[in-house]
Amino acid sequence: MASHDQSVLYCYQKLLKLYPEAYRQEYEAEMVYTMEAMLVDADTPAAKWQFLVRASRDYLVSLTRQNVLALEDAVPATPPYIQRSSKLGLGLVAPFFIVCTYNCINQYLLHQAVPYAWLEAKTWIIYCIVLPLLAFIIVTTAGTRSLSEYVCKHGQLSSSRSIVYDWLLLGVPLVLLITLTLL
Amino acid sequence: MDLLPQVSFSILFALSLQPRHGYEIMQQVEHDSGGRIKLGPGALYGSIKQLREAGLIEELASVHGADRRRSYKLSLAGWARLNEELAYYKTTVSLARKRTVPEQGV
Repeated sequence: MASHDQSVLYCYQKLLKLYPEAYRQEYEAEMVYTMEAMLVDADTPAAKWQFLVRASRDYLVSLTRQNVLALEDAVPATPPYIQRSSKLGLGLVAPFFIVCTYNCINQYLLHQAVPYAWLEAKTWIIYCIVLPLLAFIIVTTAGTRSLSEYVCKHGQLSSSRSIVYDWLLLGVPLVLLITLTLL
Repeated sequence: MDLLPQVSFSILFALSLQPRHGYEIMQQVEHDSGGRIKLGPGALYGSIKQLREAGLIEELASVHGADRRRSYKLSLAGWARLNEELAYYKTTVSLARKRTVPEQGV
């Protein structure tokens, strides 16, 4: 093998270090063998240039793909109750955003007065405070549950610690806060 | 049934003749596709990884002591999948033959 081929192979071996660890352990040696065989087969200068362009493109695409896949594997799957609570939370804050958008359109685009009914104290409290706070409780409860499960799983807390305890820890002050706000 | 990506199908097709190591697979894929599919090591081993994880190909126990390259062969599931894919393509080709394909520029 010519010295410039060896330099290319050396660079390729170094560049392979950017692949995820698990992938490298499994396929690094194979990839180097294959690259070496391809280099030997590309015998003319034109073939070498074509090979280098092709190999560079292949390297960049594959490197990105494998790193993204490794990243996806590293992130634990979202528990179903987190997904449920997120959707529920979003549903509960939706009226607030709908009303805000409606008011903005009325005021700034149509130059009309905002319907009085929307600004009545009882209605306002429901969509601006009660529903968003409820959403906050639901989402943070699910988040705390997930966190506590994670902590219990990794042995930093006793697994006997109840989820109900977490809920109370977070929920009671929030309920108090809502009550005080409503009063 | 979702069709396999083109590269994965080509690898299975290349392995249907005999077990091969990586570079041989690349050459066979290029040959089978008439030079249209030219794989690099990244694309090849990325697909091999996926196919192995799906149980469609398996590593062949090394027979040559000095040759450290790993060879791959189709698993039973791989054969079944390849036959399904080929049946699909056969149906598509037979349908295409029945249809009149307009010539370019018409």
